[in-house]
Amino acid sequence: MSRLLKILRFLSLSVLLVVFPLTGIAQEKIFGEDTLKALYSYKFALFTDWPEIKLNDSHTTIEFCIIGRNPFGQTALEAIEGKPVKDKRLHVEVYSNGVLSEESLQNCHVVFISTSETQRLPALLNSLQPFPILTVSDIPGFSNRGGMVTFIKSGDHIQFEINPDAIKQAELSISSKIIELAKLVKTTKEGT
Amino acid sequence: MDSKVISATRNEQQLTDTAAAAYVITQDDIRRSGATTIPEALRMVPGLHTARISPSKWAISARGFNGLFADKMLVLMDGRSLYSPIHKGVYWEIQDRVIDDIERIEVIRGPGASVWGANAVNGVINIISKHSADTKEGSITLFGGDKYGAGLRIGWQIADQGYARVYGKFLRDESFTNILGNDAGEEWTSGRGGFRLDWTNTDGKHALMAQGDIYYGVYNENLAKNQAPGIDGPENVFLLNRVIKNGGNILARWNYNQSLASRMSAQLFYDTFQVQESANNPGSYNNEIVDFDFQHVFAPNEAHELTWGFNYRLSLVQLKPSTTNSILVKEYFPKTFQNNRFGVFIQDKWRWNDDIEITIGSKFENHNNNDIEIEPSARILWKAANQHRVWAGVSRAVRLPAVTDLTADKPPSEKDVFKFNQYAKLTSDEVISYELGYRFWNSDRFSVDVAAYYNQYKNNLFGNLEFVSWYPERLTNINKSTTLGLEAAIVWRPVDWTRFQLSASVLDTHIRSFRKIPNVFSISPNKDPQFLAAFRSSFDITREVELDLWFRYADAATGVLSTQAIPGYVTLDARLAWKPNKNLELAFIGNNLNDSQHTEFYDGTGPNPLQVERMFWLQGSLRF
Repeated sequence: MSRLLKILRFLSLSVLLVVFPLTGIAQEKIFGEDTLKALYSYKFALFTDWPEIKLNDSHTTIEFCIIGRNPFGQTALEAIEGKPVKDKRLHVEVYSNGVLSEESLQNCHVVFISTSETQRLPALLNSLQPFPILTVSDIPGFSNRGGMVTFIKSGDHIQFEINPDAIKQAELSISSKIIELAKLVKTTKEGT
Repeated sequence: MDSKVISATRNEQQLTDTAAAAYVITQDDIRRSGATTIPEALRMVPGLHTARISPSKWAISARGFNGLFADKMLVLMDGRSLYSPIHKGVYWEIQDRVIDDIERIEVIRGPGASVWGANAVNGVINIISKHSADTKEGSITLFGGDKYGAGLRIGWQIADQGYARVYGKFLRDESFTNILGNDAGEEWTSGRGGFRLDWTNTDGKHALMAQGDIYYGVYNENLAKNQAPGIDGPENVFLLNRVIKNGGNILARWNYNQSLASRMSAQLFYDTFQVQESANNPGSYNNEIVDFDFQHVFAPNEAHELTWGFNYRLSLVQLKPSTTNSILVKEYFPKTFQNNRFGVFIQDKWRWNDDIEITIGSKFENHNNNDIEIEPSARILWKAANQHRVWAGVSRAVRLPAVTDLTADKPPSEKDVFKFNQYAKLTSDEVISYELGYRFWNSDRFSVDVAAYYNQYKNNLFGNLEFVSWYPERLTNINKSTTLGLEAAIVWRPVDWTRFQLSASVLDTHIRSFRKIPNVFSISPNKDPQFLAAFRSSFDITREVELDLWFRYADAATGVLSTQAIPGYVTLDARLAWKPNKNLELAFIGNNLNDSQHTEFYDGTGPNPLQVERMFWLQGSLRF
């Protein structure tokens, strides 16, 4: 597929994402669920504001960290690798075995928690909570358990849930354009 | 190419970024291959020579020196080593599961000793079963035709974060003819059952897994009747020998997620196995293994990921040979041999920069036969460009001598010269392996995976003829040898509903020198085909109908004696499946369609090679 075509498709998707609430029948056919989730994740990065400390010169890239098995597939990651976010480039790093150093974690702007890590989710969220990092996952109930953004597959659509309290606590802010598209939820199982 | 691989470094990583010749068989691959047992599924691995000797026996090895007693592959099932201290290889017929319970099978060609330890010389095969949270629905599979069997699995949730499943499987395979085209009479019948439990605590820091299997299998071997003109009586040396293999195992593993930067696991398993041969005069061999393994992976900083661990294995081998087997009786009498093996390993995966990753490590092992064995490995991965990866590695691996290895102190032409390694006098045989690989993929439509290797073997001990009649002239005795080879696989999905995989491998073996003695072997490189190729195609004809066609070619193998030569062969397997809904699948499967019978492998353990037949069977699977 040519680069131009990719860009065009991406632009059309972006328009659809913002203009039409939670659609996805046609695009999923084009992109596949995985690519779509990766593109949505990038979209979230575009519409998120981090505190200054995460955007200063010590951060040369916007780090998109995947903890656990890459759920998107290589193709999807390549679709978002290097894309611009806030004058920086998005860089994707996959920590397949779920182990990353404190230092690596501090570099992350977005952490995507893969379903392979479902069982240790409470422990993961605990270690992520104090930091201004946008947490995204497709583990069901992720936002209810203190995560920020959850992808939900309902039929052929991809929708998402957002936990605004969790975002606020982490000193992040997310654009109202995104919030309007989401189903808002609260943390229901604190600390579990 | 989107698969993950755990077997190369003991930590999960992307297949694309693995600095080793890795291949992953997915659950879907297995389903579409029509495989009813694990060895059948291994046929699809590029560069892995998977040949069937009889209904119960297989010869499976990568990178040469294949045979019934192939001793250079380390095979693991959910962390349990299947390497038998009696057989010095894998008894493939007793390794089975309900096919749907297998998540994936990883195959690493090339040494894996720096993390797995001894016997991972030419490769590692890792059979990984599904987490029991993924098998909450029941499944029943029935198949019948030229072989028949049934598999049943029931799974359920037993606690908030606890899951369990149990399974049972029955299989009877009576295919194969002898060289006169008569039924070989070597039918294999087996039954097995087992369980798996998974539990995680509420904060997700601790996870426990336990599993176990028991099995029982029977086959006849060396049936002389109708094997050759004029041989039809039981008075022939090759008596009908009824062999019974049974055993069981239990394994428990604890995973501890200490923090984001550190996780560890501890594992304990017990394995018991017994083989009984009951011609006129029964002999039996059994072993018991207790194995403890610990592993800790942590990331001290951004650039390094350190893994270390240790392993202790106690194995007891009890030999009670038949009194008609004069060599064994003379050597052993009924006796139990104890083997202790202790090893530690350390490995650092160092992200040197964004494009280069270096993995360095070694295992250090102590065993009855040696003081200390060092098995280091250094590998480098270069992310040359988006979708292009180049890797290289140098490593050393050893195969530890077993008590059943043969040695001799007189020329093999004399009588009764063979002795077994019961006093642990033999030294390990080793390989130094140099590897180079390249991967390219273009989205999920197209990928190329190429690996080349040059292996230097020293003090090779290619197994022996185990407890059966044998001919001294067939024994070869190699000291130094080298192999040079190339393996390539191409996957192409032109459209969503079609997938092609083309693979080929070449192998060139050179014997550099022969030994005078003391190690004696029966396995020789002459049984390896120098060229293997396969072409697998899968079509989703409609949403409900799948068609799979699979060609394989194996070059001729010369055999140790000219009478044992195996001509090259081509096989065609096909599967046509109908899935009226997501819970039901009906498949019609045919193997060796192009040929009524052919020999895949001959190991010299029967009077003549047996032949694989054309086979058909129907298979129905229902999930509930």
